[in-house]
Amino acid sequence: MATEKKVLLKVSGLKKYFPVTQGLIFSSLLGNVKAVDGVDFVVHEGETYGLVGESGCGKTTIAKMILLIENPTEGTIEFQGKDINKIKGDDLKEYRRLAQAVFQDPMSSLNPRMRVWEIITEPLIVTQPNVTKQKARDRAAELLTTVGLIPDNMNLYPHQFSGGQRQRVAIARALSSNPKFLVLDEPVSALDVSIRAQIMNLLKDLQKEFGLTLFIIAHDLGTVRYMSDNIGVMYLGQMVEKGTSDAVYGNPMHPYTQALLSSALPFDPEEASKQFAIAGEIPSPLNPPAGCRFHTRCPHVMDMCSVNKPELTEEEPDHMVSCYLYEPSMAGKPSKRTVEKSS
Amino acid sequence: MTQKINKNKSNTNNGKHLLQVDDLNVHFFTRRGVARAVDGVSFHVDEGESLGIVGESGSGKSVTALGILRLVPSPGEIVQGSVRLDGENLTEISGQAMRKIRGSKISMILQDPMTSLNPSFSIGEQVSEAISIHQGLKGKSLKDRVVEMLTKVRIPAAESRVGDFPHQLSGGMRQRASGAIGISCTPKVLICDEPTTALDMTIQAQYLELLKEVQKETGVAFIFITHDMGIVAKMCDRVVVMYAGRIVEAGPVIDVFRNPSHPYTISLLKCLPRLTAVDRLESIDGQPPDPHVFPTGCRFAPRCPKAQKLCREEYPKTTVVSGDHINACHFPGDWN
Repeated sequence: MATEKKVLLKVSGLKKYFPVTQGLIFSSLLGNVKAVDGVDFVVHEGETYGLVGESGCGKTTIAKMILLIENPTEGTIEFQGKDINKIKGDDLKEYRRLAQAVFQDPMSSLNPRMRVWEIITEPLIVTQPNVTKQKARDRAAELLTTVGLIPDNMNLYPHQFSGGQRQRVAIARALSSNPKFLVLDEPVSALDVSIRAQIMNLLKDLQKEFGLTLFIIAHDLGTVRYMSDNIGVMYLGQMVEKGTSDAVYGNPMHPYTQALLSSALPFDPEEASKQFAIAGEIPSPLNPPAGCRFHTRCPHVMDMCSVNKPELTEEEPDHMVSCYLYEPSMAGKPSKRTVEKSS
Repeated sequence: MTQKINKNKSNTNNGKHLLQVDDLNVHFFTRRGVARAVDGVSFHVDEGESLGIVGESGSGKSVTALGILRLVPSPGEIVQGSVRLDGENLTEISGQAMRKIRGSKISMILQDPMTSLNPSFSIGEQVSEAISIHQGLKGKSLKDRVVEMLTKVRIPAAESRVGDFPHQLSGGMRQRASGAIGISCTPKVLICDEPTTALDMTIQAQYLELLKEVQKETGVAFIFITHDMGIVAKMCDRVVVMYAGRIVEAGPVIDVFRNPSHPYTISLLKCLPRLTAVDRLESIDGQPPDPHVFPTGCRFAPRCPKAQKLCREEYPKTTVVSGDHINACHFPGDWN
């Protein structure tokens, strides 16, 4: 269904290595932290793309590269067909206007010394330098209404708002330059449980109203499931499974996705007791395991897993998995059935 | 202003519980007035049992835990109520006697091991502190005990890791080390304040399994303070739901989660995103009240979709839904 849609963002072969050095003057290279190591995905216009994974899997690094906070070591990010690391001048300004971000903790992402209307209209003033103060204030009032706050409060400071309201201010700021694309890095994890649903529903409503494309990063699987149309599951800098959220959540194929979904605690006491835990810890990204990076913790590990990295292959329509369990040549080895049963 | 919740006669322990909290009131005397952070909370925990206390930030769940340990920071004070451990009233004993109880009979695992562990002492030293104070062990026997505790929390090659500092361990291992401190003197009650929020999903699953095993081995009673309903579903036998300093619903986890009867519990369970597809989550409008100016009447009334005039005027009495399942709502019953 997503195939006819227009591609907004295309990420191909994306890599980001952070060099680790020792010594101050004659520093020597110890190695690279492979934060993101060869990731491809496509975000279609009007949809929500979700990235899930544990800490250190590289999901925030990808968001930073999309927002031009970090430069990729290798690979390209194309926005509306243009490589965002090559565009210059007005095109670059336009991209910065179109792509906006909402971060995790609104207490640290909003400047405590600025009034709320100043915070909200800052992107506007940057993109349209000759806008008048009155116009900016009008726009702030309009945006505050859009995100469900009272416009009279626009002269207050961020600390005078509650957590949920602050996140609404952050969303209003992201909307002020009329963006097309919002990058949401853990947008609700700093909020109280009863407030999360409010913010998620607000984001969904805004998406409909303004035709936004959302890119959401979260470690909470329920949040990503609720928000996203398509999902990518990351482990140690690589994508292990991707597809529509129905496919990935309905039929998780990669053992890591299965483990991750199983470690998400259901709210039913009887189902919660069926949950299983995988052993081991996330290896260091400085020295990731060879072959499939999950093989050190995988319950279905085979000899070849530690030799070569399995390719992402399409196992179902709109559902790609990088695992040898599903290769036709692996007949006789653990089959799909046994994998499902053991989960 | 009291809520009596544990008056259930059907209890097998003849009213004697391992830990019994009765009408606990913890107030904070600030410049803005009195904040009634915990306002008449009663519950009990039995041996080998796990109790979950759920609520949002500001609901008073952490202050309740600190109240049990008498660690409420100034300007907070326990103004009323009792905490009984094996029949001994902890709110009346001397500070010195209380110090002997903390860490030995009741201990605590805190949220973030990076801040709760001291970065300049090795984990061996930190685990040995409580053991040497409470049990007076020294030298080799102390070291053996420390290694035993670290092995108990499944720290691999514990003997060689005794000298490691917190920064040398991974997040999961660090939280295991603080778990080892918690169980080092075989406490009767272990309070876990958001024990896994700092951990990754797969590591959280491992840690919860570990806590279950520890409970099986030692028979310790757990009090889980959390906002995560999933942890309660997995770990706890009974649950207490707190809102704005008061208990709104309590009972066996399976009853409360399957048949929630307080509108707050119902909406809270509905507004959580699950792993199955939903079109739209129901959300609770508004936000929790300011503890300095709690509404008269039911504190959830301003956000409650079904609030009536009575709800805004009078705080509801606690009523029994069925068995141990209790509720504080004027109109308990089927809100669905």
